[in-house]
Amino acid sequence: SAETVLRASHQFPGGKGDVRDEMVQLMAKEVEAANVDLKIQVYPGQSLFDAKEQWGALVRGRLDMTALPLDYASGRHPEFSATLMPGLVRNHERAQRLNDSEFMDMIKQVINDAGAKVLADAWLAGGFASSKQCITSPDTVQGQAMRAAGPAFDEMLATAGASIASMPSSEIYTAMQTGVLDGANTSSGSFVSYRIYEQVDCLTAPGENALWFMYEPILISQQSWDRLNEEQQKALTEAGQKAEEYFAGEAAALDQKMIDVFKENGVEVVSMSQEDYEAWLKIAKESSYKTFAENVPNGQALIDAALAVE
Amino acid sequence: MAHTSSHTLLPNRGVIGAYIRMMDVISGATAVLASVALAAGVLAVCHMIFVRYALGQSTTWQTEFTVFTITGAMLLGAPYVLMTGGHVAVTVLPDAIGGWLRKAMLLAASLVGLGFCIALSYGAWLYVLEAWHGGWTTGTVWNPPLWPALLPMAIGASLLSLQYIAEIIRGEANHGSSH
Amino acid sequence: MDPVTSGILIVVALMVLMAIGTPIAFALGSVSLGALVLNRGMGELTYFGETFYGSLASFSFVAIPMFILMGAAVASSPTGRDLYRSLDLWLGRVPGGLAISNIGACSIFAALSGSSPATSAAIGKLGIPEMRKRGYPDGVAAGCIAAGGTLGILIPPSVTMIVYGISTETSIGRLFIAGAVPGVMLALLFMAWTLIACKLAGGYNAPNPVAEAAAQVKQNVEGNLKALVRVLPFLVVVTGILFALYGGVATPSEAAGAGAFLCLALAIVVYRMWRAKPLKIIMRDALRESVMIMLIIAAAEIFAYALSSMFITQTVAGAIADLEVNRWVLMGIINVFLLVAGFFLPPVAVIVMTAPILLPIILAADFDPYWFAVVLTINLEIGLITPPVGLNLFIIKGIAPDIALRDVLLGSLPYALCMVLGIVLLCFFPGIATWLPDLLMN
Ligand code: NA
Ligand code: NA
Repeated sequence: SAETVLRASHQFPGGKGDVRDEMVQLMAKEVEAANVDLKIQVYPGQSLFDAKEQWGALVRGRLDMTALPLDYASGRHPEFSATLMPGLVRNHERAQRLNDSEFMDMIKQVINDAGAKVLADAWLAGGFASSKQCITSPDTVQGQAMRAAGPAFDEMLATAGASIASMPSSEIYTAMQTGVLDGANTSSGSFVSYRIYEQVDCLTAPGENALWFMYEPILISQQSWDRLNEEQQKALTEAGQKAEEYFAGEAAALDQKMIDVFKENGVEVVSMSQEDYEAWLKIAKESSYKTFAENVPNGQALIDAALAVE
Repeated sequence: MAHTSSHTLLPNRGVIGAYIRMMDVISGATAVLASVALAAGVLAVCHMIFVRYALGQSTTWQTEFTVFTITGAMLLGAPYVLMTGGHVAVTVLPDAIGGWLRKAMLLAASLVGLGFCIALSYGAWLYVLEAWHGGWTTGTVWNPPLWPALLPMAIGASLLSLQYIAEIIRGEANHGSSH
Repeated sequence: MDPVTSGILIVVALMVLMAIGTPIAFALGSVSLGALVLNRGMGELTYFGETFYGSLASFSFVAIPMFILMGAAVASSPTGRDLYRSLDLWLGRVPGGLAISNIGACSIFAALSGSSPATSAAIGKLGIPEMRKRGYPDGVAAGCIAAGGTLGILIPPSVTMIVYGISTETSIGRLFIAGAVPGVMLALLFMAWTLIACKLAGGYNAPNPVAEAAAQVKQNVEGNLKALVRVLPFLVVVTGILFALYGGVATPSEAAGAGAFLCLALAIVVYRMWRAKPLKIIMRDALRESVMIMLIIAAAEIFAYALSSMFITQTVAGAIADLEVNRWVLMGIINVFLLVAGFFLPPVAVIVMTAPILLPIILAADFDPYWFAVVLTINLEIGLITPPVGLNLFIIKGIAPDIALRDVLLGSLPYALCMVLGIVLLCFFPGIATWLPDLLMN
């Protein structure tokens, strides 16, 4: 029989060691080695679809696979905002436990109902950086101009007294250089690749009490999945498992790499204490969690389920 | 663009003439709308600059608003640009050949253009309806509903198709190629 | 069907559609849509609205209509006339001075506008009739305006540099600065040729006797000084906007928005254009040019998507990368390719369609992407004054329909050769493009 080709698209640089690209490439290699007439053709760096168009393309079967920050689709499925909700994950160990929780079952139900399927889980940590004052407790963001990372984070930061400027992540560097922004929050990988360490004095690394976590799974379109035979599905599932294990091993290393690079460039590196984290969580509950619960049908249930994980 | 829109053979009587005149009026009106949208986009950028740099306050809606208004303006302005011959085409070959073959080539070209515009209208309305039914928003800080941003594309593409038909009837669908 | 065969079929279909006179945007769009439907099924039609909207709706792209509006505010006001007069004050009496003033005015206007046709139109409306009145050969009159206008996309701001920056994820501010020195270099080359052309034509036969000309100059001085005073505020605003952009204080879209607003406000204040009619003309001109360009960009984006979707882009890029020829031979091939593409397509379309293929090759061969942007732009400037699609030629035809196309083409040809010389100089001295950005940004 003729070989089945799956087209996998993502927004990250190809062949340059980005962990999400590596995950997809690893799956391509595994599937090839399984010898089941299946091939994954990778389109990195938005060379096929723009980052924000991938979800729509995936659920309609236009695109077979993607590595996607799930929050990008929150305009169509507001539940997905929970996957970029401040303080909901906290650290990598807890992210692992979260993957097998009722919370993720609820999220994956939405993904499945929309017409897609998760092949590999990945939670990326991130932090804060500032040129004004180290961001630890909520009162440290007061009066700082911060970049908008997503509605939930913005609402929490604004409630704590920061002013918010919306712009694409690619503009963070310029905005910090010119003083439009005092601080920014994004993933560990982006902090390094956008060279933010050249513009800031203090980095808040994820550590044990991180506010910033984002879910970026590898997904397959249900339509594409259904077209595969059992052997191929099995090979793909196993490849996804390998990719997930690979990521679990790399996740903490990504944070360490960010810390190293920032320290090399003379940036002070701190992390949040238990008390800082509790204080932020209190603000989040009054602001972004509350809004989420009001606007999303099962919003409160989602948050309760996430917080219930030990 | 160089253009001399000489609507010479305008069939000014009957239903067909009325249709052409009506389309010209509508395309002119949407061009005014498009100008207003373009200006609104510019003002939103200026507002953002003022609020961010002078007042140091949060700016959440301006970027998206500018993208929506200006992208909308481009599609709403398209029928007017077709009417005034502004979409660049190369008519060197048909002009060199002349005669009935020239007419046939230009008619075929217009039909291809019309086909594209109809396909775009179909896709655009489908997208608007999906966004409307799904209650899709932009998923950003401002998070407005998506369908109003898409509506100008659907309207613009539809009017573009109707204007194309008017141009084909007018019998000089080779506008914008007056070189 | 293998990617190469599909690619050839797509290009042939595109050429046929363009040859029978289909507007470029619709030809690109229908070929891409047709290829997608044949390759991936009718579903592509269903998603077409989303694909098309997604190709246009970005905060970076909206800089283009705003920069065009800024240029239209200047071009549709009497600024072009005043700029022209101010330069005539200094250069009016030099042999060939008027033609040189025209190129100078085009260069300055290029700094006020992001587009080449707009630059040709703004200066040519006054310049061509004036040159012909004073006895310049038709070819020189048409050629120097057509060529001078092409500087619109090299001297910042530049619509094509914005498109290049978006397509290749390079810094638009840095691209703008990279174009400045090469822009001045080309302007000087154009002026040098103009002097030679005037000498060859036996000088310009000024119909008015010397005494009369002197009297007229005296009378004009006062008016020309006033013209200079009216132009200065525009130059100040635009310089400020560009410095904000270079300094990284503003993004291109912010700079474009502020520039459009301020230039519109200046046109209203300086030239008292508050009535509906002149404002309508500004908005009409801005809309016509930006809609034309943006639809071509959207269609070219879909074309690029179709090629990538069918793995044509990746196959071709891989094949070129495997050629293993000398990097300068490679650069020569790329230049010929761009030149030919420029004959048939407007600059923005060429950039959107080819940048994703060319940039990886350029980087692999160790060329500077900002230097390459300048070389690419000059290639596309040549395309602006060559048939069959030469946007600036259309403008000249509109301004002076009675100049024979043959004269326009022959008059423009030496300027195209000046640009080829410019590319050669850039290859030998890459610093022409890289020196200023390195100085200002590192
Ligand atoms: Na320019
Ligand atoms: Na050309």
